[in-house]
Amino acid sequence: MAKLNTNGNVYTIVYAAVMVIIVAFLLAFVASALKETQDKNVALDTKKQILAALNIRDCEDADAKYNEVVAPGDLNRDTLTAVVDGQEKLIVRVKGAGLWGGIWGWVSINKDGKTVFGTFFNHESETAGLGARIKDDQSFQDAFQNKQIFDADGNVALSVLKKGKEGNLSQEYVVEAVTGATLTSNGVNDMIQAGLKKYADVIKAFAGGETANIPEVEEYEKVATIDKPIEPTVEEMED
Amino acid sequence: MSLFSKENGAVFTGPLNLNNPIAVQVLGICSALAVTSQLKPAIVMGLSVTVITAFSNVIISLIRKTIPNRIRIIVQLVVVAALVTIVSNILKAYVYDVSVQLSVYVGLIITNCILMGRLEAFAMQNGPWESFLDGVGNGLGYAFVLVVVGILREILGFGTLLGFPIIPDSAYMDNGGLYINNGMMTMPAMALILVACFIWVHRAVNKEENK
Repeated sequence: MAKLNTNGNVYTIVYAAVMVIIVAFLLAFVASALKETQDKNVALDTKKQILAALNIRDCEDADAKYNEVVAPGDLNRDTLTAVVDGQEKLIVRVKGAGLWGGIWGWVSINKDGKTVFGTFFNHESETAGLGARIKDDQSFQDAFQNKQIFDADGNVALSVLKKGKEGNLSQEYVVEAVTGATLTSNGVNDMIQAGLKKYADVIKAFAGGETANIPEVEEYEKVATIDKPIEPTVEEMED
Repeated sequence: MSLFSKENGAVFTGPLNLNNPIAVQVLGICSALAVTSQLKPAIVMGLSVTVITAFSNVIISLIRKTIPNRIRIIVQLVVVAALVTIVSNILKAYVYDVSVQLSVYVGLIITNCILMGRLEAFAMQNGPWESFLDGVGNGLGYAFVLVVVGILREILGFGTLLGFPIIPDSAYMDNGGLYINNGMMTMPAMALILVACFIWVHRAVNKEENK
């Protein structure tokens, strides 16, 4: 090695080329070897988020629970149906913009097509301890439960508002914004309003028992129901 | 020279205390601010950096005599970048939730000054074993500060440690107590202040040696 002229142009170029080729093959090998496991993780994480929107949190085997509760099909479709405690639920996926980056979530709706069953929100890069509480603070998500979605005229009225900003809007439509995270809360507000408005027809069809995105009856018979309602414990509330 | 000679011991323990990359050399601060709001990501980040410094040091040390001088920084960067990509992929495959929390900061290990600093200052002149010790020492020195800051920020900012509640529920204002979590602690600015306090204490304790 010592006899090589390591400063020559040819040596430098060949060295760089060989190094890059070796590294490229190595990285391609690692990436393809681990891809399957990574995709599984992403899918499992998505399933956990959808289950959280159905108020099923911290279950041991999210995969099995998901298959049990939610109708089969593509994970990433915009509306899903599920059966929780023998009750049909419609899950609407919503997407929007927070303060620093994208936010998204799922809103599950009761069979009446009017009230919220549960929600889960997630974010790309909201401020920890403030905007990030839309994901971390379960009490914010739980505050949506049993809120009314549509007003008397059939427009989406469900809103996330700061205390004192409700105006004439009845409390049954209002969820209190996260303190100190007004812009993120506004983002959540816009996101759920736009998302629910977009799928208002699907929600109506679901309430009417029609088949919009809803699986056939035979498929329902295959899915079992949960024995008892899931009550979040104190520890879970703090997560 | 034996593997665990006195000189090698000094190579390993130096960065843990008197030559700590964060407290003394003030390197790698930006990631220290970003990932320390809770303890778990701080530990994973510290371990990732330790693994990457150790192995990039060994690799560069092994090929140091073949590296063309004019492109040595590029060669170092390629080695570090390759290792970081591998670590990032492994984290995504096996500790997915942590990799979500660390988000971009694993990728940014490439720009961590500790790595390039050690490669250029140590691995280019020393053998693989010494370089390995130097890498592990510097990584752990970095991890130690991250863990200290992470513990303080998680307890004071969230009232938990590794996710387990530390402050009793009854102490909180919501439940009639007097305590409230310090939201400031969850912000990166607070990490800067804590790191500064750490450096202050470190310098005060090590006054003699610094003279």
